[in-house]
Amino acid sequence: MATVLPRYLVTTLALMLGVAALTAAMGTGAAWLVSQYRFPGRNLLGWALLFPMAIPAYVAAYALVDVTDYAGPLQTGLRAAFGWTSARDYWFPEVRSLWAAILVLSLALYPYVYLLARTAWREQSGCTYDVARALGCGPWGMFWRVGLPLARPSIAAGVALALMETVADYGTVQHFGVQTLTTGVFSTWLNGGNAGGAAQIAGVILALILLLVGLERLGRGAARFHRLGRSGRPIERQPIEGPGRWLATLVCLVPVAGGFLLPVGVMLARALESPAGWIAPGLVDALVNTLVVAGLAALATVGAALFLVYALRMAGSRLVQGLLPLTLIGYAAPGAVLALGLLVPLAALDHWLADGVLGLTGWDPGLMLTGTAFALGLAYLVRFFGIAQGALEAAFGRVSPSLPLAARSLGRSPGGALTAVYLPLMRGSVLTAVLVVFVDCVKELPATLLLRPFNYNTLSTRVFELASLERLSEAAPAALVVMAVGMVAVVLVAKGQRD
Amino acid sequence: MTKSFRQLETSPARLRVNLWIPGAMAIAGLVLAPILSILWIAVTPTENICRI
Repeated sequence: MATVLPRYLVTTLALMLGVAALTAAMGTGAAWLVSQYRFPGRNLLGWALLFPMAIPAYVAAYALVDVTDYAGPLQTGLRAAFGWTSARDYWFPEVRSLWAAILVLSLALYPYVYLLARTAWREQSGCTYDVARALGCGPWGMFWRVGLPLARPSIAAGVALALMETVADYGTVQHFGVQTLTTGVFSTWLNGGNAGGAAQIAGVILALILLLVGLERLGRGAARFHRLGRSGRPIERQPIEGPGRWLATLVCLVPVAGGFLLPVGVMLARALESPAGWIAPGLVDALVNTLVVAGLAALATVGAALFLVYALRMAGSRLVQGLLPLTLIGYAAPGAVLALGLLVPLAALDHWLADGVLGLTGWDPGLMLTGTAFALGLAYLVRFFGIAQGALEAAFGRVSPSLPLAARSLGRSPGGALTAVYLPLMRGSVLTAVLVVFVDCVKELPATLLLRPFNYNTLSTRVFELASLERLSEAAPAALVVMAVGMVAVVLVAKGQRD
Repeated sequence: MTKSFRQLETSPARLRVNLWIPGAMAIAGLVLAPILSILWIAVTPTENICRI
């Protein structure tokens, strides 16, 4: 069977394997050091390790290539320092390769593992570690025999999230010339004009995602780790003596440097090279388009999630409540897959509507759904519905059931109880959900590339287009805006951690 | 039976259509539609995957 599928599948699996190993090592190692030890810069690094979450992986990829390719400052500096005159005089690792893609994606995605592992260790009682220490456990024994087993479910969940993002990624792998299943959807559909073949590849991606979710659940199994009693005191961090403390600082600093400082530094330097880029008309248009479409999509997503979660909470039927986990699948599905799944039926509906209006009124309205940003907004809604749903389910759970029951017994309708009781109490959570969905919409690339109308750019597509044409100085201002918006999500996550 | 229960029983019946569940089902359908659409296109393709 001569198809492109085995090639895409093997590359995707290799990418996933590499990213799983590296994110697990970086995220777990950094979280262990930050939660268990005292070393120089620990407080600052504890928060800074979250910063790469603000950087879209494709921006980090452009920055890495910019610094390390033949004409970049690193190789130029090496040639100048050692007197080499051409690439034949020395060996340098291939920048546009699978290994580089693994490195960049791991640097962008390790915060998922770091965050969940750190939370798991923070919620454990310090007594567990005191007992282990009293029984003669050394630092490595504490990690392998106590800490790692206790945080295993969280680490597995973090790695699974990172892998879902890896499978969904398009910008990074495309820039490094790595052919994965997601790039396969693009090339089979757009270059080959074969929607059926692209859907078959998308089906394989969905199967892979479901397998990941299943493996994560299986790995977690029946394992549950609870703190016994309410008096469990927090972990007392041990000081690291000697040069080891600087090594701990270095271990935590490397992911921050590679995942945050490098892309921000490169983009800032490039943006300063050509200040005119900040007032380019394309940037202003992209900014307005992004604010409008991501803003409306975030409001619609959170509104729809609010309606769904509230309605299903009121419904007594388990069958209806069984819908809740199903609607989370959109978040696991890559943007390219959703775009394909939306565009084909929407295009048919669009043509049917346009023909109907033309037949009835004699006026051709054109393609109202796929010819405008409607399809893009709908894709954002489907893709990020799970985030809003999760946040709102948690928020509803925090409201005491007696309050809405009191409102209902006093004659309020279900909608009245929602607006008079739930919404005022959940205002903060709803706003957070809107912001998080908005930030994700701003960063989303594959679905935006596939579903945007003609001559319609958002910040992410502008960065992608200009960076693909090696015009990084022009792409840098838009990339910096995307990163600044991403920092909003990081601040929200950090705030949630502190609370 | 207390007074309040009698009041509930005798209050005029109003026709209330519960739109919450159908609305929730419609939203769930909208979110799941692209996934189902992909699976449909994948199992009934006009062309299979070919080597590009």
